[in-house]
Amino acid sequence: MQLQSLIDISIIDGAMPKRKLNPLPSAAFQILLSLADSDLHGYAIMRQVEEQTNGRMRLGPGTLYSSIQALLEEGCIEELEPGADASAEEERRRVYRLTTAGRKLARAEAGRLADLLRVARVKKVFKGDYV
Amino acid sequence: MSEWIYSFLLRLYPAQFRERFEGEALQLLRDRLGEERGALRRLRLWMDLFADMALGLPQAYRNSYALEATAPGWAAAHAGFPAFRMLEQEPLRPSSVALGSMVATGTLALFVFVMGHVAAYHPSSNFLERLNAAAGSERNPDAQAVAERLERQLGALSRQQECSFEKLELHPGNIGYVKLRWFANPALCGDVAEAVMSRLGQTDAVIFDLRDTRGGYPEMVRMMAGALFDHPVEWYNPRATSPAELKTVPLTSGNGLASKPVFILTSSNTFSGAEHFAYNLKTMKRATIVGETTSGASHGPPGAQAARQADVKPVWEGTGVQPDVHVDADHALAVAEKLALDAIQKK
Repeated sequence: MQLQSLIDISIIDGAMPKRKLNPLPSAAFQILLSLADSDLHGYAIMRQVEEQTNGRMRLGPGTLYSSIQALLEEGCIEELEPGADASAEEERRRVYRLTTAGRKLARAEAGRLADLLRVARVKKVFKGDYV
Repeated sequence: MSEWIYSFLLRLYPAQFRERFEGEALQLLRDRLGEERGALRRLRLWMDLFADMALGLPQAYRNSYALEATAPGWAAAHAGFPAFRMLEQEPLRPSSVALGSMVATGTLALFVFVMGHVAAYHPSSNFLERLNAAAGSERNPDAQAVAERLERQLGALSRQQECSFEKLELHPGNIGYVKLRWFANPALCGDVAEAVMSRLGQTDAVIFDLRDTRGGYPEMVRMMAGALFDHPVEWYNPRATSPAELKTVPLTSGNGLASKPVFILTSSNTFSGAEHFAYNLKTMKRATIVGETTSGASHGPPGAQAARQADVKPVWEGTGVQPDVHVDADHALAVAEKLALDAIQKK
């Protein structure tokens, strides 16, 4: 258990390091990736994540929305205002968009994974498979 | 039905989470229910939901939900005033309370554990340890007995320390060793002093270490000296205010102390009441003084009496009490222990 998590000082200074997203949980990373090319609502994010992981990751509401909340708190995604003519159902489905900070974070994480991949290749972990 | 069950499960999430996402979460469930039909897919859906519960709950409690309370608004409202920002702007999260109580309990348990061990290994507790061992409780003591004994020891120890009995030890050869800092007020510590003296009655010889004793209450000096005799004896006290103070009183409980050899350790730091004790027992040949000549400094009794009786000077004033065995204060204990062993063997 980290001592750090006992004391929440992030509210004192908005420019604190991204505590909750360091290390970046895979669910949060997948959400950032799913929003990379289009703005989506919660259910669409879930489907997009399922698709981009070949069905390995199906985000349930709890994980999905607490990750979304964490990303919102850290300013990695933002919520779009519903249009004036939105129906009640449309209003419930809030749409999220990747921010510049979120894109930067996704890029950094992807870079980190690419570095790992490079190491794995050098160490011949893939045994001749082309990756 | 499924929706109803899930909305019930959602109550496990923090209030802020529900306020913000309940509608969305239920909408998502509705979408999935609409799309995933058939027993197998429904089963998979519910397994997903429960797995999600396990993963999502902790994270939901980690989030702060404090988006609205951002710095600019606050700073604008208090512009120009130097002030501290309050942490209470954010409500205390349940997880913080749980963590806090866990840490506090853990710390307290550790503290209690450590304190118990410190007391158990304190040198002066050896004496009480042995005292209890005599009652046969040392072998296979059950938890209750250990707890009771520890409590008794801690209580006895703190009283003993309060009454300036710095050390109370049993030295090799069944020699009782007492180190005093001060002859305490007999009104408060009379019972402790009596308990100490009657325990010393079970030893074969007694060493009073007065090398760092700065003085104390004359009545305590007389009381402790009285315990070394089985009958009242004449007591030299140039500042006595009543005839009763010129005789010692033996312990009411009676003990074997009267026949035991007594040794008193002195140094040039032995003052006042301690010199009184040493001087009297030396002149009565009741004790052997081992160490250095005492300070001999002028010390009146405490308080208003000092002015009235300052002219009455005890005989050791200015000269100090001469020891029977001259030896450096640092070596006095070792020498006295050897003398005590010799004395025990002669008997």
